[in-house]
Amino acid sequence: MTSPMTTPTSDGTASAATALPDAADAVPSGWLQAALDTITARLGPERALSERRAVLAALPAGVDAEPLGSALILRLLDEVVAVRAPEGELADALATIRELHRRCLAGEELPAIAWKAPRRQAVAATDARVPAPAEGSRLPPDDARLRGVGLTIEAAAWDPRRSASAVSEVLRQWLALEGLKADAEFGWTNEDDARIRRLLAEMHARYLADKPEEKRTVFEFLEIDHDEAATRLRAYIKHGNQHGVVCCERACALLRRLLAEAD
Amino acid sequence: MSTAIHTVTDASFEAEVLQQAGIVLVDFWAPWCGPCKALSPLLDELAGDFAGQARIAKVNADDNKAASERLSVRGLPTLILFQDGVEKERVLGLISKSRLSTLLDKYVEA
Repeated sequence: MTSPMTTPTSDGTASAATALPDAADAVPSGWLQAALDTITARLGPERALSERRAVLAALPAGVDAEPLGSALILRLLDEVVAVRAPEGELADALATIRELHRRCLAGEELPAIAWKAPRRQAVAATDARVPAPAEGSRLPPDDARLRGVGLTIEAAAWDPRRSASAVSEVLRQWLALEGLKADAEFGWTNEDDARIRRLLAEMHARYLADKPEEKRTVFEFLEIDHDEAATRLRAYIKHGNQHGVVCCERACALLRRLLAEAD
Repeated sequence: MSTAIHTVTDASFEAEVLQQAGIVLVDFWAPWCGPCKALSPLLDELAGDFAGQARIAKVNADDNKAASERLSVRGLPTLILFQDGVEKERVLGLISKSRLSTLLDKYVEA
C-alpha cells in the first residue's frame, strides 16, 4: 500500500512529497513504483529523477494512491480503444474489465477470481481475431494495431491494489502501440524490417560466424557493406527513441494530473 | 526476487525441474537482458499467485550453460513449462502476466 508520509504544515498545503526531506527519496510502493519505473526508463537519469519528483509532488497530502491505479488504467484504455475499437468477445471483456476497475476505484474489495474470466476471454478473443505472428516476423500494420489493443485489454485484467505490475503492464502495451504509430510516422514498413533482418543475418554469416576473434558488430559491417540501409536504420532508431521519450513524458503528465485530481 | 522463486543451477536442475512432480515454470535469464528484467517482477507476482499449485524457477543462463544447452535455449528470456519433468510449453521473449497466468491455469486446472 502506498501510504503518503506527511506532516502538517502551517498553510495546510503540504503534499505527500513536500512533507518529505526530498521527494525523490520517497519510495512509493505497489503500482506507482512499477509505473514510474516503466515511464521514466527512457528519459535519462536526470530527467527521470525530475519526473519522479514531479509525480510524487502532485499527490495531495493524505491521499492514498493505491486505488488510483485503476483510474490510470481506465484512462489508458479509453485512449487505446480510440485507436481501434474492439468488437465481439473482446468488447465484452473490455466492458467487464472497465466495470471491475470502477468498482476498485469506489473502494470495493474484489476477489481475484473476478478478474480471471474476463482475462481469459480477452486473451482468447485477441488470439482468435489476430493470432501472434510467427517468430521473427511482423503483422500487417492494421492487424498489429488490433492485436496491440487486445494485449492492452488483457494486461488491464488485474486489480492494481493486488498486482503491482498491472499498471506498468498496461503502460508497456500502450507504449508498444505508440511504437506502431512511430513506425507509421517514419514510414518504416514490414519490408524494411525484413530487409534489415536479412542483411544483418548476412553480415553475421559473412564476417562473424566462426570468427570469435572479430570484435566488430554486425551493425559496423552493415555500415561498410550497405551504407544506405545502415543510415536508414539509424534514422529509424533515432525517431523511435525520440517518440518513446515524448510518450513517456506524456504518461508522466497524465499521471501527475490524475494524482493531483485525487481526493 | 521473491522468496517464492526457486533459483536453479546446473547442479540442481535435474532434481528441481526434471525430477519434480507437478508444474514447474523455468525462466532462463541473464543479468544483461533487458526483457528479462521486465519479466522478473511478473514472475515474482505469479510465484505468489500460484503458490502451492506451480513452482516458478529461474536459471541464470550465463552461469549455467549446461542446463541452457541441454534445453537448447537459443534466446533470452526463454520460459519453459514442465509438467512432471516433461516440457509442455516454451515461450521465447517477454510475455505479459495475463498470458503467463492463462498458460499456468491451463495446466494447473487440467
